[in-house]
Amino acid sequence: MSSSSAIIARGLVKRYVTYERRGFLRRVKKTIEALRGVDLETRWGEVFGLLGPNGAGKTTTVKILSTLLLPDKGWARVAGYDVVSEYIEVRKHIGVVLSVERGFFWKLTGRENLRYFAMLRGLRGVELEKRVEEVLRLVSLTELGAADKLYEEYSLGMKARLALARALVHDPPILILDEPTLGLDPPSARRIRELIVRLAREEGKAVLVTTHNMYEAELICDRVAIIAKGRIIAKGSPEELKSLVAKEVPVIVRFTSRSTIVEASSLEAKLRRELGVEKFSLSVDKEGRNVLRVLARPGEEEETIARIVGLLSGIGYRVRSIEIAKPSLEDVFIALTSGEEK
Amino acid sequence: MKALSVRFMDAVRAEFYSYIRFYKNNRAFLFAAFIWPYLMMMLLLGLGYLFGDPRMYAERLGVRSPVLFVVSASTVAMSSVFIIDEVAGYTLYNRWNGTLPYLILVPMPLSKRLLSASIPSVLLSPAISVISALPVAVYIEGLRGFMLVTSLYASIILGMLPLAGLSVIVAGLVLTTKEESNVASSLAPFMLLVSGVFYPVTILPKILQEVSVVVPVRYVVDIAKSLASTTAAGQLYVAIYALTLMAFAYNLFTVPLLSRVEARVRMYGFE
Amino acid sequence: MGLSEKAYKLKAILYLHALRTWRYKYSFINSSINTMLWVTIFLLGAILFAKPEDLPRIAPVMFWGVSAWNTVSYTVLFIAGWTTWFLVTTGLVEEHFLHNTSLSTLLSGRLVSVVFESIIAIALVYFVLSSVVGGMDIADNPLFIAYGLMCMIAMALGYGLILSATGLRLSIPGTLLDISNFVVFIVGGIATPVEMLPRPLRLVAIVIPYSHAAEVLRYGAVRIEPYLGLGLEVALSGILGAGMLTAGLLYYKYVEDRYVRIHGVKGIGRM
Repeated sequence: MSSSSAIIARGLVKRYVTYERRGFLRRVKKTIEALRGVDLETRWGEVFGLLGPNGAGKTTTVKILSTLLLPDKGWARVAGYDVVSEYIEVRKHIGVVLSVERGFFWKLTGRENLRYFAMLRGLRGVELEKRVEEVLRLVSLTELGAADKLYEEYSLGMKARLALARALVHDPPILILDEPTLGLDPPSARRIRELIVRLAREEGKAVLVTTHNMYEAELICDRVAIIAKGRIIAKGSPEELKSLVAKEVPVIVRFTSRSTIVEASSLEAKLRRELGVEKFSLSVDKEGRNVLRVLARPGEEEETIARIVGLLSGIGYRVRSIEIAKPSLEDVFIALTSGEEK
Repeated sequence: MKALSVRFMDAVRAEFYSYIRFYKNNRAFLFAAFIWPYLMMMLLLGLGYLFGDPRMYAERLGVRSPVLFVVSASTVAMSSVFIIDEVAGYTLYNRWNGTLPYLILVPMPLSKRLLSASIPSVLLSPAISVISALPVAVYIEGLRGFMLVTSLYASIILGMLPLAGLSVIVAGLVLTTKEESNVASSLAPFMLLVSGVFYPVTILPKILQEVSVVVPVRYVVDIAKSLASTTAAGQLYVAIYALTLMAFAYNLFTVPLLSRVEARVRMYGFE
Repeated sequence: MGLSEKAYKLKAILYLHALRTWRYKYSFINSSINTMLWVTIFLLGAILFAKPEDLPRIAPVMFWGVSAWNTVSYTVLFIAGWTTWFLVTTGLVEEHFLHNTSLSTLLSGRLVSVVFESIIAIALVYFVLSSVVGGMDIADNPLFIAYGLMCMIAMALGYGLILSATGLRLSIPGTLLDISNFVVFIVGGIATPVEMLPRPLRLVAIVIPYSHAAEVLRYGAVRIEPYLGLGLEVALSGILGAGMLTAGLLYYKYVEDRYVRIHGVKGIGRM
């Protein structure tokens, strides 16, 4: 582990071959390029976020770095070991969360599951029991009284905690976590985030985490990379990335509709066609209001607002509030990946 | 907005669609379904030929052609297995799949819901087994073989009506348990065992003979024996009467019982 | 990886399977009962082919044939089937790779469940068959019986691993690939001594590895002289058992390294 970078990847390319059915017997071969030359680096003691829309290549990158998939081109070293040829060594140095809701035996308790996986990692005797207990406490499963419950009785939050506990049970120096808070309630997500940061800061672990929750990334990541269509399109600290969109002003318009459902696709089409707006996102806030976030050019905020309000009112929406905000990581994401998911 | 009402036939149509699409998209399963009666037949005849004489078997069962009888019996057996498995296992498979709540959400009483799910199985599963058996039957007995197998289809359908009622009850009862293993999986071999599918019921212990009186498969097997018999088919009519009676009895029993089941599972949850 | 590390991993896997077997005990008991019911259906049919005076002689042969077949089938089913229905769908394939543990080692541990299921099933079949024929002597030399069974399990384990790995490659459930199950029982020298088979089938039986172990087993059970002589059959059983197991392990490693790591874990079957 002498390398200064915990994880380093250069030019990773991965293609999948799929077959599309055409009629009863005919199948057409299709090649999907999941990664088109990914470069990234994670340092010791930092939380590195890999951000991107669905299908951008985050999980493929994680699987290559954790040795589960072979790249077609390029190379990667984890803890100084090559992920292709020295995969056994790599696996000894990483703790991985691939899914927070799968990957355990249903009829074993959380403790029994952990004990089993710890044994596969070579832990034994008193050390094994001590470590299992330690990680169960660390992720608060003991506190929740869930350590000795069968896995099939776990809530999603408990499953996520157990997944993290398994990644930590052998005390690896590197953690690779694929969307570790996906679908969790706020307290469980917060607990997992706190732990991730603590492990990096206090124990010097390198943590690579994928997410498309920008708020989370801004909160816990020291550096992030944005991946889209299999390529890293930006990387740096959240502050550095935000400076990329400093030339643009985020305008947030909250509005409600007469019917409760906003037809997002038709509204998106209108914004593009009638207002020429390209960089925007649509979501729903806690009060159930629709939130339109648009990046406007400096000096053109008021005009942009007026045109948006005009458009929304014209098609029957009621504007509730308008706000000009500071750029966030979400704005960077919008600016760089608008339209990528489609 | 006007709420859409769901008729029983809508649910039946949906189940037919699902059944047919499943086999269309899983041709390997369809192939396996065609092959299974032959595997059963081969197993019994293989053992029989190795350990003894088929003439002795024909004599003891009073059938003309042992091979034709075993083909018919295997067809009955496989149809029963498919129906019990598909109908009794319906709730369990959907629970595993996570689709159960959505199926339960269909605005219709549970009894009707489960009965609608059983209809494609009752009609199509025997059809698969019968089509599978047809070539051998025609090869052995020509036109008579063809007639025998098609009459067998009619009698299987008659026999499967009460069996489906029974299986629907089991499917409902499975909902009241939290058991994740397929507890219904022993039901099919047990019913076949007491029905004397490859042998006379009289060689079974007394208690099992008595149980077999209320098992519909027994009468379908009796019909198959009558059709392949060397003597006049006296028991044929008895079997047809018994099955008609059971079809009413089991299906009438289904509705009140499942209403109770539904009330109970709504209290404790479907999952 | 050192030997002690490998042995320790095996201990972890045995721990897992012992726990799971206990937690799923009702499912395994259910499958043992299922086996007993199916076996009884076919045995009662097959017995009707035999002369009554031959029954005491052929019953122990039938018993061991069925017992060996049950053990072999369940080894294949529990390994190839479990890969599909459980490991892949629950995301455990990749978790084991991450723990530097080959699936072949994990799957080999399923023998704990096979042994549990088989002991109960064999006891039930003995109970049924001995009550039909009125008592049976089934063990002349337990050492040969144990050796024969162990060799068969090693062969079935190797075969199950090959099916499981092929299932991972082709996205077809391993159990569906096992089309040889019944064929092997009848013509593979498991159901009956090779000597009893028609002459051309004896050649087929000799080619099927199980037949040699079954001949040794039958020698231990009822002192039927093995077809190729005791010494040769003992040697062949051991060599073929070790060979098939090694082939299964090597093929698994090949599929893990050369296929799964390139294409990823794909869904199998209906899921």
